[in-house]
Amino acid sequence: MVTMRVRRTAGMAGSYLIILIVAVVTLFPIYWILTTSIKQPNDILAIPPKLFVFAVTWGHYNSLVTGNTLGGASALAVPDFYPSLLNSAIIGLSSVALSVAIGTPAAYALARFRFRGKGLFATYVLITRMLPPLGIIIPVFVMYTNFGLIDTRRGLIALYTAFNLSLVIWMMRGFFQEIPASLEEAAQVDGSSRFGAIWRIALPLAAPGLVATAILNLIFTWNEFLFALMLTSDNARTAPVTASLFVSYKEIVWGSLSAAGTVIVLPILVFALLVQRHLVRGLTAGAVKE
Amino acid sequence: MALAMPRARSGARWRARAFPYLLLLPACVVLAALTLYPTLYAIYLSFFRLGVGSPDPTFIGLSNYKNISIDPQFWSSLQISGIFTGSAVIVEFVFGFALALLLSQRLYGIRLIRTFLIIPMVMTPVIVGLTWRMFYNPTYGVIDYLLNSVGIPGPDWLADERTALLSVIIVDIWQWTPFMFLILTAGLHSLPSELYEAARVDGGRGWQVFRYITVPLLRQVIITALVFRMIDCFSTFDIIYVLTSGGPGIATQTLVIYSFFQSFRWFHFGYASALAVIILLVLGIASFLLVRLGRLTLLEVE
Repeated sequence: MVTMRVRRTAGMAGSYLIILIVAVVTLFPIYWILTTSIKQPNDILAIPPKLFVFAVTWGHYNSLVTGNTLGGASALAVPDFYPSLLNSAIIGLSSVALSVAIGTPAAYALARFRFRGKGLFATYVLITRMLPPLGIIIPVFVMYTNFGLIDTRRGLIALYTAFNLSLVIWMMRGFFQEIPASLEEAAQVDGSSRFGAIWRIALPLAAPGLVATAILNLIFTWNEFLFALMLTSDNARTAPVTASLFVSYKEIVWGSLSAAGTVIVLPILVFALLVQRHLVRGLTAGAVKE
Repeated sequence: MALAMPRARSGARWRARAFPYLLLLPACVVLAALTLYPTLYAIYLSFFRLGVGSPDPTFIGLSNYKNISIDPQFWSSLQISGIFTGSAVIVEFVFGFALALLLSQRLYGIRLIRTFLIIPMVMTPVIVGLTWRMFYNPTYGVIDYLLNSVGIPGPDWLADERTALLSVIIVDIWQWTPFMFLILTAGLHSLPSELYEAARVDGGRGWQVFRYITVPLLRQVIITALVFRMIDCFSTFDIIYVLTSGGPGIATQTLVIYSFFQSFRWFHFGYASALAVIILLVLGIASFLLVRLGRLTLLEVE
């Protein structure tokens, strides 16, 4: 009896130890960026690493605005950061709004109606979820060169809208299916038009799902790299691409880079915590529900 | 009036039949213009010579594919993609499953851990890559500091051909193990608890219950997780680009990175298009096989 209790307690302790290790390994990189962004340059490169005790400076965040880095690196070492952050915000919000506006009606059709070509359409949408950006970057590059869309926000917005559709359509289809169709039928019997029933009954009921879908879309769009790297330069460059440029200069300014990284990552983390229940559903285009 | 009625009714019926298509129309237009057309265009371009030295496309039939078949860089990059995807996905699956089983016990702080595990997945990959570059640095990186302090000489992780690929795989494992964990946790939650009790009453031991009850019941979920992770892993670009850019030499040059260099470093658009078509084929065939293997109902609509 006693040995069993001892064994169980030991097992629990082991479990907690593993959980602790997982937590530290998971959180360490984000902790490291946050602290590096407020450390003095010589503390950043100190060995042994300064984990908890160091003098705090906000100079790296200022350097993102002024271009003057702490520790005397040349002004050139820090690329223009805030304009690209603005680009990221505009491109992200616009493409998410568009893909939700375009994808939601399609999702409703998949959830509510039987019609020819339905399976084909749904399958094709799922295939676009699997489509690697590199598979189509050359045609897009050629098309965009011909239409004058290279280095424009419009160009990226259009592309992200298309690539976000799979997420919107598959997720919203699931959310609509969870709403009983009888509610809309009742509204139609009461004299509502078909659009009226969707607008006043189905859409408000699916609103929480709609918000989750939009936020997930925003996260994925915000993080996208390849299209932004190849299709933009000085005018429409997004924040992750600018961050990657910190490295291609001769000296890597870790402090400024970490400040930029923090500014890019923090809003995403806040949003992610809001929609954590739906994250798996989003990543698998609605195939797995939590 | 009597004549007008049927026409009105058939008009209404026509409208009812057209309604779903009307709802799909905008999505169809956008998807056709920005996914279907580029895909077909990539296939078309793969039969042409286009790029540096040949600004106008010249039809060369299957020459690009013939050249690819005898291109040693193609074969090595395909192999590296295979190693990268295979090992990363397997380790993520094993770790994720183990963690999901561990956390299916009643322990304190589980919700907090689940929240923590969201963070790697949503962190901007470029920033993830840059942060790990600091960790891997041989002079001031924390990893080599830890190794050195226990007496192991730390390697120059990203610059050494023997460790570069491993370094990139480790970052992918760090970022995506939580994905496996979350999916499998969702799967475990959906299992009926009565089955477990019945198995225990019948004297089933931990491993037997896992092998003969948990795994078969989770088959769908497992296949789904593997398909999605495999496809995304094979298509990885940003992390590798930021960490090693395919180097040193071609040690971490996956098929996707190689195709990127053919496109935008050497501007061989035709050749790179053929590589892109091969990437699409590999992904298509692999996911089709996995889906068939798991008798997955993912693609079924109703």
